[in-house]
Amino acid sequence: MSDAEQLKAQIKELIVERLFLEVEPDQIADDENLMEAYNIDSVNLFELVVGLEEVFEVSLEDADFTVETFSTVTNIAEYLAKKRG
Amino acid sequence: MLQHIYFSNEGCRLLGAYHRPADEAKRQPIGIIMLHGWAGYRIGAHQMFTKLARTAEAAGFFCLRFDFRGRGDSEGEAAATTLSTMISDTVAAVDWLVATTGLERIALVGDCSGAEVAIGAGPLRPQIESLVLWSAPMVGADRTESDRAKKWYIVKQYLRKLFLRATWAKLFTRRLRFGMIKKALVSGGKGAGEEGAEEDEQIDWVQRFVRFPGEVLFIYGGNDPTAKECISYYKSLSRQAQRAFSSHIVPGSNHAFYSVSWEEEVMTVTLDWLRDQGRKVEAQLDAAARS
Amino acid sequence: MARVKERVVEIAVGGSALHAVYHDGGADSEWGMVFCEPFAEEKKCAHRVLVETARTLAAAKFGCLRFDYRGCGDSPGRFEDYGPTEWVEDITAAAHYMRQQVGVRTVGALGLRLGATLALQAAEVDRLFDFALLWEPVVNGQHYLKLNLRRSLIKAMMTEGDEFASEEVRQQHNEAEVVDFDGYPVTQVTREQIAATDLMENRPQFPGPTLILNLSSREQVANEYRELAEQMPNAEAVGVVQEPFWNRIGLVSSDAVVEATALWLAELQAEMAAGPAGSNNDTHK
Repeated sequence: MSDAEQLKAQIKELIVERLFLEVEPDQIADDENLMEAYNIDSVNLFELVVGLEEVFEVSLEDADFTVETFSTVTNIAEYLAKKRG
Repeated sequence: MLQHIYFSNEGCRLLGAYHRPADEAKRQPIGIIMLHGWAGYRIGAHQMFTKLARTAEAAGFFCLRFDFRGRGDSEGEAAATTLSTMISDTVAAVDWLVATTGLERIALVGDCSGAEVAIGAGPLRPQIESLVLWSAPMVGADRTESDRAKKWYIVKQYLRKLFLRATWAKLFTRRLRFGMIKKALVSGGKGAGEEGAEEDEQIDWVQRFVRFPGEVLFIYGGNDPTAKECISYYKSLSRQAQRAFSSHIVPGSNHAFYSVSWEEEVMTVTLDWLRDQGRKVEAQLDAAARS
Repeated sequence: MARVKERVVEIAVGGSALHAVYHDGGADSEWGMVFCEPFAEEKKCAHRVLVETARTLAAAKFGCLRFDYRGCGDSPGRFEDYGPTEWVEDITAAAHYMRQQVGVRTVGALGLRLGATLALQAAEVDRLFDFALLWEPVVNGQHYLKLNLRRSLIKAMMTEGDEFASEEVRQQHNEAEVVDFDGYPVTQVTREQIAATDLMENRPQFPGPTLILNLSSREQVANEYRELAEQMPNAEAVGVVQEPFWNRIGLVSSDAVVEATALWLAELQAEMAAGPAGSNNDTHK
């Protein structure tokens, strides 16, 4: 598994865990809209953001908060990869 | 003046916060009952109902904010609450307020699911004369697949709860409310405890809205993604009901009016509208007295 | 099963009468708990869980007192007129109410989030509490304020979409005299008091048995709670898998946290019953 694929797998695990979803991580498609598919609202997204910071040890800047950043697993992975350098 | 009261409905004791205006001689001719959202309780989202009730009380309105069964401090199992049980509780609340105050006109102010409940209860008592509906979902619209999936999730939660209760029973036998969970499971699913329960689907929502003889005000947030569709829906139903469609949009607001300025706008518009309703009632009463 | 008795009561403090509900543990109940509620909208989201917890514990003979802080819920006053300093006074008044009005001998605090932190602050004073249950306490106030900013940013982002300007929200949170925490006007004084909270810096010295529950998606205990427990004279930290019901719009099962709480209380009761004379189960004046 490439680094990029591994990162996506970790993100999917985090999503399932932090949001207490009743799906397996590998059932989440890379490019499906998370908010529509899993009914993610602002409180769920808050949990996800906190989780991303804790698990991936990044600090989200205020300017990073865009709908696009968190809309899909692929977008989240690209964002994290950029943050981690 | 605020007083906490209890009233009963279908074997459950419900808690209410009852606001009485200081000068009863200057009281408004309409009482207000506030109906909280699905998972909320009598204070409302970000304490909106508490604030509205205090302001309304100061303006001469008798107000009642109460907890539906299975919510807040009221009795009843949380998972057994449905829109139908909430409607029944609302009717009981109306009866209580009418009996306590002698008022013959009641306005229901409902937030989200509370707005659905207001529509459901509207035609059930002649004293309900107006509805103020905050962020009302489209009653009678088709339930989505996700609502059905939620129902199964709730049943699974029941099963998990049963297992955990059995564990505690070893420690606190006879002192646990184990019987209530078992009863809910054995009763075979009445009240699946989520929006979309079967009994709620039996209600002819559209007819309830159309049959309601009083006036209705809709308030939505301008940035509530459901607002446009809901407004279009209710405009159409209002035409069917031959009732003027009244609405107010709070510019920029989200679904639950999550800011001080948005909530102030909602409360001001609500109270101003209810004052107008009160003036109409007084005019009718004056006209009746003269004739 | 007999209906658990609960009644609305009032607690006098600072010229106000706090709204409270007392869940009666029964005539022979000697143990009681004061519930210390979380901050702002977390209180609304957690309300039913705390009611059901109180009912469950009352059925197991723990008298439970739940109350609204000044400016919150059904207690008098406006939210913006009060803050942590007054709320610690309110907790203190509630504990005295349990001992003096209700007559309970062994009184504990059950606090959730900022309520747990405030309970710990109140507990430092003069053996107010005999034990403490801290559900997901706020350890660092600065971090907690940052999380609230995050919450506001996310809400604004999801509301405004393309028109969202994060700088505006951030400026408001950092610079305004009164910051709008999604419908709660939070003054600079309140923010400063919350920011000054640092349980690692100001090590709590509460001597009574204390359970810190880390409620999250994992059973392991976060470092900050482990370290907090190590610093306190008589505390342990346990991880419980529990959805954060204080941060949910819908209803969430709380069985896991209530079970962990009930088990710990049962063990504590057994220990104290077997303990030597002069231990924490002595009558307080």
